[in-house]
Amino acid sequence: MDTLRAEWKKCILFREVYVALGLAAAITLWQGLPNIGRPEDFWINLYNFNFNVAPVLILFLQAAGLSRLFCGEAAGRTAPLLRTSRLGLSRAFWDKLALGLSYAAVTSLLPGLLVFCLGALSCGGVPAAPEGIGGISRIPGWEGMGELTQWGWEMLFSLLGGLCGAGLVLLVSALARRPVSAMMGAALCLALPAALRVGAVLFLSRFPISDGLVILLDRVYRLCGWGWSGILTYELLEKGSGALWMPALYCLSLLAAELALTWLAWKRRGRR
Amino acid sequence: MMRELRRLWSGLLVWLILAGTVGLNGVLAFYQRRYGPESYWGVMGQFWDKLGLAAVAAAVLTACLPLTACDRICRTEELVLTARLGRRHLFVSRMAACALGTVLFVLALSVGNFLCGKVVADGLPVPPGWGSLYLGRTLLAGAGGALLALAACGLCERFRSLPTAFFLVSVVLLFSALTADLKGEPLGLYVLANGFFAKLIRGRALTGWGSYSPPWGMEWLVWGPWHVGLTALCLYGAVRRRKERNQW
Repeated sequence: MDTLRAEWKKCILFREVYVALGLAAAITLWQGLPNIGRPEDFWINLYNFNFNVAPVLILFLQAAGLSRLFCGEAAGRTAPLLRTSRLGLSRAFWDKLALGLSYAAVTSLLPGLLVFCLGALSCGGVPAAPEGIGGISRIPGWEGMGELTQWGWEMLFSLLGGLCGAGLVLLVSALARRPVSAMMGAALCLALPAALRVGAVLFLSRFPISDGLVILLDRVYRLCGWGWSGILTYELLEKGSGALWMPALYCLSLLAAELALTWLAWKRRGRR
Repeated sequence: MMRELRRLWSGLLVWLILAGTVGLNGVLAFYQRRYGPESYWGVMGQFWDKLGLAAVAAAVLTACLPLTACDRICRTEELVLTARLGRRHLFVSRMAACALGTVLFVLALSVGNFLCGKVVADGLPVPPGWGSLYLGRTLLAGAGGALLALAACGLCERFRSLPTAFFLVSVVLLFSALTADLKGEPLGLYVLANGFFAKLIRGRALTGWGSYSPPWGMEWLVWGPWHVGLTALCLYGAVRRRKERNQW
């Protein structure tokens, strides 16, 4: 518990966490404020926010807040102190992991919950959806669900996507020596699948290219849908057969793989 | 300043961004020449819209910001501050080097894009008026890039944290770039799309501010001083912070 507290005290000194949270809150409020007191737009605004703005904010919050977690000691030249401490590197890893995943869980849900609470407060409760709103949510194939259930699924995949994104940031952080390198590397890796998808769509829509290249680009497009941004924008769900547990299981497997690699990178750092 | 400029260009990443952007644009040019030669030069002229903007942003974030914060990263700040020219002179030199370096980067990108386009064009004539429009866009992108570099470095110095500045600049620029393609949006998005360097670097000012062009057509009088004022504000914050810490 003492080491966890020590990690927490270190973490709350990171200036970028405050700036990231402040900026995310400002963008969230800015998106939410124009729809205050308009119950007819409540659900549309909520679903659009979760699809358009929240993924970017969630991934940025992970990259900004967690990139220092595993390389802070290397950058601050206090790694030998940590290595010679009573509980050692192994215990520090689990405490850092607990702290990182808690931060990821909170920040993944924060933007969506903030918009939801803001809208609900301004409307005096959760308003009923107007007629013909079914299908506005990007969760595919489940239009028969209630609006709140659909939003709940969206939030679940925001959480899973945020945790997977955090896993990648932790991995890059354990590999990097400096927080800035970790932040840049993590931001690049997180943005790459989305950038490749946009590039593939632009390329396919602009040029009548040969069949082989079309198949290749289509595969790249589909593969990138399984990336971190794909989870947050529910591209992952479009490929499934409708079974809910399969995408969730994939997300958990991805997270487990990322954390296992982070552990290996941390052990490697300890052996140096 | 020349030393700082050399340091800025000595990193491998800048050259990789430059070569990668020109190479990628070359591939696009090749396909455009093959499948749509009638709009070839029009597409080449829109280089700053996406690839150019991304390259300039990447160069500012990965080269200019680390140069501003290198003393803190290398833990030589105290030593540098005791040097004869290690305070105001070094700060001003670094800011000037970042701005000039970004302008040079933009010019190199522009020349690379033009030469690449000329080679791939395979004799396709350049339409009249294209050159002056392309040059105007390049100059605007250079001015926008230099202002962005100054503002980003000012923020980095103000917060004394490279990750913070990196995060702030990238998020604002990303939202600004993404918002520019939306249409019929309210005033908040209009300001976000136009006011944070993305449209300046895209060179859109010469042909109006895109879909947000207001009817009175006096955008220059508003957004020109706005960008200069924003940059000056960031630099003022940095200078004030240095004075507070007795580093000026």
